[in-house]
Amino acid sequence: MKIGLVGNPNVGKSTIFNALTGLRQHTGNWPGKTVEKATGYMTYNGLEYQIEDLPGTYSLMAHSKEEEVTRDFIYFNTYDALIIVCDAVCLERNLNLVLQVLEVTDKVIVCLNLIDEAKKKQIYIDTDKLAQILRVPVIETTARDRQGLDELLATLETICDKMSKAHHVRYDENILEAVDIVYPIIQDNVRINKRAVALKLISGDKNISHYFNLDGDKILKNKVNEARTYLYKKGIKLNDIETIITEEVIEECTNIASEVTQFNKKDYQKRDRFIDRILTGKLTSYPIMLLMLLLIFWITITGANYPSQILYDFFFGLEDNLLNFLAFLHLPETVINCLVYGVYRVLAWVVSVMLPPMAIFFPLFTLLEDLGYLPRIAFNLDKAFKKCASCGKQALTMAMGFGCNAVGVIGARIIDSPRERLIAILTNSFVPCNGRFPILISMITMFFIVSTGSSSFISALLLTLMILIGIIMTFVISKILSKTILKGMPSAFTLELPPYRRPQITKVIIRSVLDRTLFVLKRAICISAPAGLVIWIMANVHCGGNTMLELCTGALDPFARAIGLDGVILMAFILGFPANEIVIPIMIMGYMSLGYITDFDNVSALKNLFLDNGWTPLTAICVMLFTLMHWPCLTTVFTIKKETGSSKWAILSILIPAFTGIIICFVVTQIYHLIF
Amino acid sequence: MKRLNDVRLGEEATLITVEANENIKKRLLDIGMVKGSKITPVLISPGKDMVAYNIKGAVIAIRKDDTRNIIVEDQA
Repeated sequence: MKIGLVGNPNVGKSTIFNALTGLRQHTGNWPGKTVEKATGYMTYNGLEYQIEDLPGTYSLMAHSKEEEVTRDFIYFNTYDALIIVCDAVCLERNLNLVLQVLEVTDKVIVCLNLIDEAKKKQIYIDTDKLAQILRVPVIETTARDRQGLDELLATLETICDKMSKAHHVRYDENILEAVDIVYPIIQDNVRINKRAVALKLISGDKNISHYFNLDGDKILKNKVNEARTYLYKKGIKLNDIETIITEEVIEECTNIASEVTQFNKKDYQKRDRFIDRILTGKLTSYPIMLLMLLLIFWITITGANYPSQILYDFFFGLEDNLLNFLAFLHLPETVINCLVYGVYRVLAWVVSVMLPPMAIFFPLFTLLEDLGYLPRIAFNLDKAFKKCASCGKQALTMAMGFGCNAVGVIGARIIDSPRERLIAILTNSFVPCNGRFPILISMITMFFIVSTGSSSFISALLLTLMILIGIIMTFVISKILSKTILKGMPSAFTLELPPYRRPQITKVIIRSVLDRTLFVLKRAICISAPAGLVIWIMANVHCGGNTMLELCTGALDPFARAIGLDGVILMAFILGFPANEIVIPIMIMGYMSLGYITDFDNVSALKNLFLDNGWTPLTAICVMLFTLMHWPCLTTVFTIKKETGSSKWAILSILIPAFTGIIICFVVTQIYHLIF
Repeated sequence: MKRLNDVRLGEEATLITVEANENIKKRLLDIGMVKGSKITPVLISPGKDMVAYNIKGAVIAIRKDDTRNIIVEDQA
C-alpha cells in the first residue's frame, strides 16, 4: 500500500511521517523545512505501508519547485490513498488544498493535526460534520504526542476499498459545460478524476498539458480549443479561468469552515503578536538577534571546554594500551607508528575538539528553529536582502547552511524566483557549516584567549564577529551578483510567520546529538583516516632529497605566505575539499610528519605545535578568514550542480568564495605587515 | 478607494482588486486571498519594507512593493 502525506507547509506532515515510520526526518517550526520527498515503511495489522512525505503546498497550482514535487505526485504517481494533513488552528485556509485534492481523487483521509493547539486557543471543530460535508474520513491528531495515530492507521486500512464519492466544488455552469466537452476523450487508463484533468488542460496548466501530450494529440488539442472558445463566447478569458476556479474554491472553504468551526476567543493570537512586537521591533529586533547569536556561542564554548579536556585525557590515556596491543600483535614498527601517531592521535584530537561544541551548538540551534524564530529573522533582515535585489527567504537558507551548506543549497528551493534562488545557492558557503565551526572555535580558543575566566565570553564575541563578516560578505556578493551576471529586480514572495510553539526539549537534545552530531563526526572520522594515510605516505616517500610532502607544501608556500597562511595550511584546505572537518587533522599530520615533536599533555599542546611551526596571530586570523571563505566542500559542489543542473554554476560556486577569501586574506596580511 | 498599504495595523480590510503582478497574484490566490476576503495588517518589519497580515488565521508577510496596487474597501 502506498500512501502520500500532503498538506499546507508547517502543519506537521513530517512529524506524522516520523511517528508512523519511526524514521527521523528533520522537523522544524517553519514553512519549507521539507523540500524533498521522503519515503518510509511501516507495518500495521500485517499490512505493509509505503509512506511518502511530500513538501508542503498551499494549492495544486504549483508555483515553486518544491510544490511541483507534490502536485506531480498527486496527479501522476500511483498511490492507494492520500492523507491530507491540516492545521486545525487555521482550517479555512487548509481546506483550499483539501478541496482541490478531492477533485483529483476520492481516496483521501483528512487529518486534523495540531488539535491540542487549537483547543488551547479555544477553537473547536465539529469533526463529524466536516466528514459529512467532505464525504471522506476526518481524524483528529496531535502528532507530536502520538495522539490519534491509531485511529488514523485503522482508517487507513479501510480507505483503500472504500468506493464513496468525495465532495466536489460546484463550479460555474459555463466551466462545467466546458469540462464536459473535453473529459470524455481523456484516455481510460487515467487513475485520477478525468474532469479534474480536463479542467487543468482547459486552464492551460503547462505540466499537465505536457504529461497528456497536448501538443502531439490533435484530437485532444481540438477539444481543448473548442472548450476554450466556448468559454470565450461566454465572456470567460483563458487567463481568468484559474482565478475563477480558485475564487469558487475559496468561497466554498469559507462556507464550510464557518459551518464547522467555533472560535470562542477572538484574540487567540494576542500572545504571539506580543512576542512578535519584541522580536521584530524597530529598536529591539537587531540587538536581540545579536544577543541570541552571542548567547548560543557563549554557551557552546563555555560548555565545551570541560568535556573537551576529559575526552582528550581519556583518548591519550588509551594510547599506551593501544601501542602495547599493536606490539603484541607483532606488527612492524612503521605500521604501528603510522596507525598510532598518524591515524589514532589525529582522530583523538578531532573527537575531543569537535564533539563537545557540536553536541551543544546543534540542540541550541534546533530549539530556536522549533520555537519559530527563524522566519522572524528572515522578516527582520528582508530589507537588506531587498537592497541586494534578492529574497528575504535567503535568510532561512543561510540558517540551514549553519548545519550543512549542501542542505542550505537544497533548501533554496523555497525561493520561487530562479535568479534569487541562484544567488542564495552561490552565496550559501559564506555561512560556516558545522564542518568549519570547530576550526573557528579552536582558532579562537587557542590564539585569542589569554587567561581563563571571562575568556569564553570573548571567544563568543569573536566568533559572532566572524559570523557577521560571513553575513556581510553574503550581502556584498549577493549585491554584486544582482548587478552583474544575475541582473534583475527583486521579485514578489510571501513569507509565513508561524505561531510560536513550545519546543520539545528532551526530544530536540536527543535527536540533534544522535542525528546531526554523530553524523558529522562519522564523516570527519571516515575521511580523516584515509587522509591520514595519504599524508603519512607523502611524508615517507622520497623524491630526490625531499619527501613528497615537503615538495608539495614547499611549492604552495610562497603563495600561501602572501595570504597569511603557509604551505601546510593551504594544502590542508586543498586536501580538505572532500570535507572541511579534516582541515585541522591534516594540518596536524602535516606538521608532525615534518618532524616537529611537542609534548601532548593537554589540549594546548596543539597550540604549541602550531607555534613551533611559526604561527603568529596573523596566521590564526587568516586561517579563520580562509575557513569562512574558500570553497564549499565536495558534497556541496555536487549538490549545487544537481540543483542548478549546470557545471557552470558549480564552478562559480567554487571560484566566488575562493577569490573573495584570497583577496581578503591578502589585504589583511599586507596591512598586518605594515603595522607590525 | 483605499490601498492596502494605507490600512493601519490592526484594522481589518476587505479586498476589492488585486492589481498586482501575476506572480504575487497567484501567491495571494494560493493562500486564499480573493475578492471579498478579509485581511488585517498586524506587524511591520523593522526595516519597514514588509508588512505581515493576518489572513484567515495565518500570519503572512509580503513586501510593501508587492502590495502597492491592492485595493481594499473604504470602511469610512
